[in-house]
Amino acid sequence: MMDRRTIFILALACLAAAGGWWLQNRWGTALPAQPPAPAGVATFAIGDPVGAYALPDLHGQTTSLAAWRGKLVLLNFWATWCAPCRQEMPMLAKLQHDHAADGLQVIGVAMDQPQSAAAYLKREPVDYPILIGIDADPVPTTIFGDTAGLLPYSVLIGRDGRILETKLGVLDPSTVAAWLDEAGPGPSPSSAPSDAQRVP
Amino acid sequence: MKMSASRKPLSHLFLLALLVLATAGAHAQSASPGGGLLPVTQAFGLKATIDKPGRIALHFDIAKDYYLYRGRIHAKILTSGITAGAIDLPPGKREHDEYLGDVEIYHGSVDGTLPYRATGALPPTVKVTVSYQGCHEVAPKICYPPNRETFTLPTSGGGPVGAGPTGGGHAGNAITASLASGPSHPQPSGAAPRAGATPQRGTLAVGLPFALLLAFAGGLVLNLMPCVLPVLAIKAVGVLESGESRMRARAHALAYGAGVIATFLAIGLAILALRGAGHAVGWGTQLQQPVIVAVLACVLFAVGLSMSGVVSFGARLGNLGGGLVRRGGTAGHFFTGVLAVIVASPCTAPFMGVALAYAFVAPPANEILVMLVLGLGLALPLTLIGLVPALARLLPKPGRWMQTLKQLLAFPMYLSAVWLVWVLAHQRGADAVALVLVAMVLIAAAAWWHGRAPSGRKLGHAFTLALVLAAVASFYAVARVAPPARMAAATGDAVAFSPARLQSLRDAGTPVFVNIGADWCVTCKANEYAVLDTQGFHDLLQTTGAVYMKGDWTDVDPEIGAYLREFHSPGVPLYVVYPRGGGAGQALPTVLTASLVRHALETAAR
Repeated sequence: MMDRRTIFILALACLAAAGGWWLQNRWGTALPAQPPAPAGVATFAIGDPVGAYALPDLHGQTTSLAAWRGKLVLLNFWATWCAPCRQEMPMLAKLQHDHAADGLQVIGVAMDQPQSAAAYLKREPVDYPILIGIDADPVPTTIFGDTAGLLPYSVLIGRDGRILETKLGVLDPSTVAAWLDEAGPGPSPSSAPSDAQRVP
Repeated sequence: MKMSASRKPLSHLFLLALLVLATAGAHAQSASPGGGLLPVTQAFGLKATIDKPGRIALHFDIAKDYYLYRGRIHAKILTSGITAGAIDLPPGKREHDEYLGDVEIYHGSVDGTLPYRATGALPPTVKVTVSYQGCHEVAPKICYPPNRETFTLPTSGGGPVGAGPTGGGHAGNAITASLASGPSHPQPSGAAPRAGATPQRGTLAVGLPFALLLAFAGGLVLNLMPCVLPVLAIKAVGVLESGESRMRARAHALAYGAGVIATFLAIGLAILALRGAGHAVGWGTQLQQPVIVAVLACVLFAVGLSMSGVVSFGARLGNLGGGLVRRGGTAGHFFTGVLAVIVASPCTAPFMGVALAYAFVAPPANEILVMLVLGLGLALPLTLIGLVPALARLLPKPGRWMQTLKQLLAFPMYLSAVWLVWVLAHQRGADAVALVLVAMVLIAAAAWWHGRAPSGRKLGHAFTLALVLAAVASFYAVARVAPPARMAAATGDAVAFSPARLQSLRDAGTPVFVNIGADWCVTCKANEYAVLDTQGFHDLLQTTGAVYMKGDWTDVDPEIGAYLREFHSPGVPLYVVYPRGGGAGQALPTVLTASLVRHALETAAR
């Protein structure tokens, strides 16, 4: 009996260790580790205002994010060499189409040479603006918290210009739905909260 | 109060399996930084060597679930006077990409070559930049940005390029530097990857026999470490108390030895498996996981309670050492061996470091051999006492003093638990500390209730179970506590470690002293107290003009992990001195003395 008690307690302790390990592993996968940003590079965190952060567009015209102030901005970092990024772009285009009335603005940031991005967009057009992030220094992915430069990476910026959410990897409809839900309905009278939840 | 003889070994085996699982778990954790995606240099593990004159061999070790695009691997030679030929890569797996068309991708490992020739006299080194790009193909599906690594390779002679950066004029690296008596193989001037580049995994200048000797000595000394000694003392007391027949004593001693060695074998195999999967493994890295730290603290606390005899299950947990001997279960002795290894896991004994450094990069058979010999060293003293009656007779006669000793030895266990809680405080802050303390109280409560509840009462057991589950819930909560905002480790003279910063300092020709440590590393703390935090070291930095760069590995940090691998360091501490003029770094021994540091810095600043 004594033995059995000892074993019982120790077995539970081991199960706890194994369980904790499993949980932490699960937890860890959801939040991939990002290396720290290089010294001297200020990065945005959730809740920070992005201010007038600006990048060139496909024609080299500098465009500031402040131009979309008052809208819910979904910044999507992509590149032509990134297959998962290309796969999610049609979904983003549809999202833009469905929720433009709610004040949603998808903006693609190509981590690619402008000519490569332009050639790709000619074949697979999307109806949201594209900025070019490849030549900016410091690298825009780093500034927005993706210090390893992994793609795809998306950032949700609230109507007040503050970062609400970030997501590494392909956006899934349920995440987008939750994001839109969290951001709440736009000021536009035509939008109803129920619309925001109906996401492709 | 008795258990049938036929059932007991089975339960013990079950327990053993669980413990081995938990240990393997701890190691698996240590291997996966953040449990998420690998740093790019680990995902695609690029090595460059000159395998024969006029040809650079490129080798990618692609981790499981990652792939590289063949068409996106490019190499360029930066040394003037050397021109590169066309890169030769094997055909990859063909895949159709909607936009890119037919692409070829690689999984596993890839070997390519880059021919080069000199237009005039052959320069002593050739600098080559390799760029590549790949992706992770299971969730989360992501792609890495194109990565570029630069290697400086010696053009003289082929053969495998030596391990890690070698100091200007000093043959050797971390290992040879700390082993003046070791067999010294003059190293071919090593490939010196730039900071952040993939480390070169060559053979170390420590031979297998010497590594085995060190492993054995390290295992022996492990017996005396504060976390293991109490458990073993109880076990020795048990041997004395038992007064069992010689044959039984011998069988039990062998079972204990087998338990220790089998656990080391399991750890060795786990490390091999993880290495095969391209993970960075180090001794002590399991302590980077707050959950493991919390569970270990609670285990030490529970063992301490049992030794103090303050809870009634305590006397029974003491069985781990003494009681089971009386009951005569061979499996029980085997299990004591397993427990000894588990409580030893937070400790690193002197000598072990070098042996482990060898093991972590050695061929599989040698790695297993080193682990086995480590186990042999740990198991030997107690096994000998059991095997040789003359030795057992040298121990003092059993008596009341044994009870006192048992209770006395509980205090090192509590102190070990305090240390682990302190480590946790640094990793996850006050919230995690509160949670682990709550878990300890719950464990004490469970043990108390279990001890006083009449046996066989279902309700009593259910309440015990509820208390234990609550303790488990605390561990779960510890896992969820977010790390506190990490302050840059810049204190006093030191600047925070970053590969980019190190590179820029080296490019500027400044001598640099790099110190990589962790809160859970006792040696690191001792060195800081004795040498690095002293006025003498401060003055030395002033006179030599060296920059003191400090990295903290208390938490998982892929950049520091890669840096440690570059120097074949099995863990922390790691001290590296970079000479004036941007030469390659020279690793120092893990135990520092003021004169050693002075010599190293003055040589570097020359």
